[in-house]
Amino acid sequence: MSPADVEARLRARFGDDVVGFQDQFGHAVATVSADRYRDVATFLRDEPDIACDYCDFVAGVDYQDEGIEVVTHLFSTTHHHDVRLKVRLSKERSVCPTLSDVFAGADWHERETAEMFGVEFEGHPQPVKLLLSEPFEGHPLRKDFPLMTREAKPWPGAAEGEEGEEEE
Amino acid sequence: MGLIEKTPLPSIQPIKFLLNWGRRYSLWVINFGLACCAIEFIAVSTSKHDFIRLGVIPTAHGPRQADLLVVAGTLTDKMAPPLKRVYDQMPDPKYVISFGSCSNCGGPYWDSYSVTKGVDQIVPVDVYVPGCPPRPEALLHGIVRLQEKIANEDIRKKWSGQHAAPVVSS
Amino acid sequence: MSPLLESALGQVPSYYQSYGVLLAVLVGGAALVAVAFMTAKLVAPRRPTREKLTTYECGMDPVGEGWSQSQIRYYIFAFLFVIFDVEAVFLFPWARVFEALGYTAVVEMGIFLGILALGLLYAWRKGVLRWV
Repeated sequence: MSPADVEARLRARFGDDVVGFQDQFGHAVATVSADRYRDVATFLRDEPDIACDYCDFVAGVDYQDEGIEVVTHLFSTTHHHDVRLKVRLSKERSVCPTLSDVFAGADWHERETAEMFGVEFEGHPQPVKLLLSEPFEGHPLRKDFPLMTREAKPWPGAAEGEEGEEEE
Repeated sequence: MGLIEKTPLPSIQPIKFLLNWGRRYSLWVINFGLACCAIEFIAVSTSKHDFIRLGVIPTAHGPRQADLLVVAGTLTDKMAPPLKRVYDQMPDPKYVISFGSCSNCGGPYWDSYSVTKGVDQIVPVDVYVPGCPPRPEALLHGIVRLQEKIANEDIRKKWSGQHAAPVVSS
Repeated sequence: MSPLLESALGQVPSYYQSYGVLLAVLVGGAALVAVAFMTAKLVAPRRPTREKLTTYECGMDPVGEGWSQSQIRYYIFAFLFVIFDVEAVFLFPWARVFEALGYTAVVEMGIFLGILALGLLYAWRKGVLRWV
């Protein structure tokens, strides 16, 4: 199925809940609202023509003031096409429904995204830290988490050969 | 019972030499391999470089049959308690080689939020082998330096828990 | 064994002398092991700490039981092996002497083998010879 067909199916089924859709280099990327996130994922899994049965990863992107976006990559092992789902959450209340009962592989990825970005996945069976040690405080992959290198010394500017403020 | 500690035997030079000789040429090793340096360690154990000829046999049955712990690779904060536990479960007298810059000081990942900057924060290290990753010859050199260190060691001090100063092998 | 003992003792060994050598070997073996372990226990320093004595589980705190369930098929096969091994032990001396004893010996051994073969057939029909 081409991305255009996936878009047509999604819009036919979910209408305005598909907030945005892009065709990125031949891959379908759909931005959906948080309330229909689970329904969209279940639809993509159960629909026989799309049949996205494999959850590749669940990750996060920190857009600072614009919020945190949760990105899920779903792949179909039968049709060999993929769909990327994006959900934009507000910075103050970054809560997203869990996909761990829809896709078993999303379980640990959601744990990692939760500890790295501070996203709360509602309904997750075991929301404990996955990679960080227990007493760790803070969410490291957020942009406002201090980077130790920058504490030690300031940004040295563009490296030689790179385009930037520095002249060659 | 520890009878040998109560006698003056270990201070006699021939006995001291004998005990040190036996200990340094039979350093059974447990490879606490964490990252890329673990692969280098495995490369050293193969026939081209071969540390088994130095008496270092990688039994890998567990810490209970080992006297040398080689920490090879990046230690994260989450992995630090298991490292301490494995070190504790080794019988005395035991030695630690820190292999590679990640275990020496955090290495290229020193600025990460999750890396322990140096395993010497967790276990007492005897020899540091620098490199990223160190050449197999560097580990062989490190083992030889450890053997020299053991040759000059006072076994009584080792038994009483005093830790000798570490050596940087380079 | 006998020519060796003969040269060692200077005479053909008597019945008791052969067993005496066996006893000496057994005692020597047991003594060696005992002396080695006792020396280690007496001489070596002991530094038990609480963490050192914990069960090894790759550095983690051990969870669960240390016991695991074995497959029953190992026991069954070991059992059958013992039975047929004992049967073989009876067969070897019989094979040396049955010619002199005549047909009755053959028939008797045949009955013995037949009874054991019945047991093997029973085991086969019960399905215990299947490994999987």
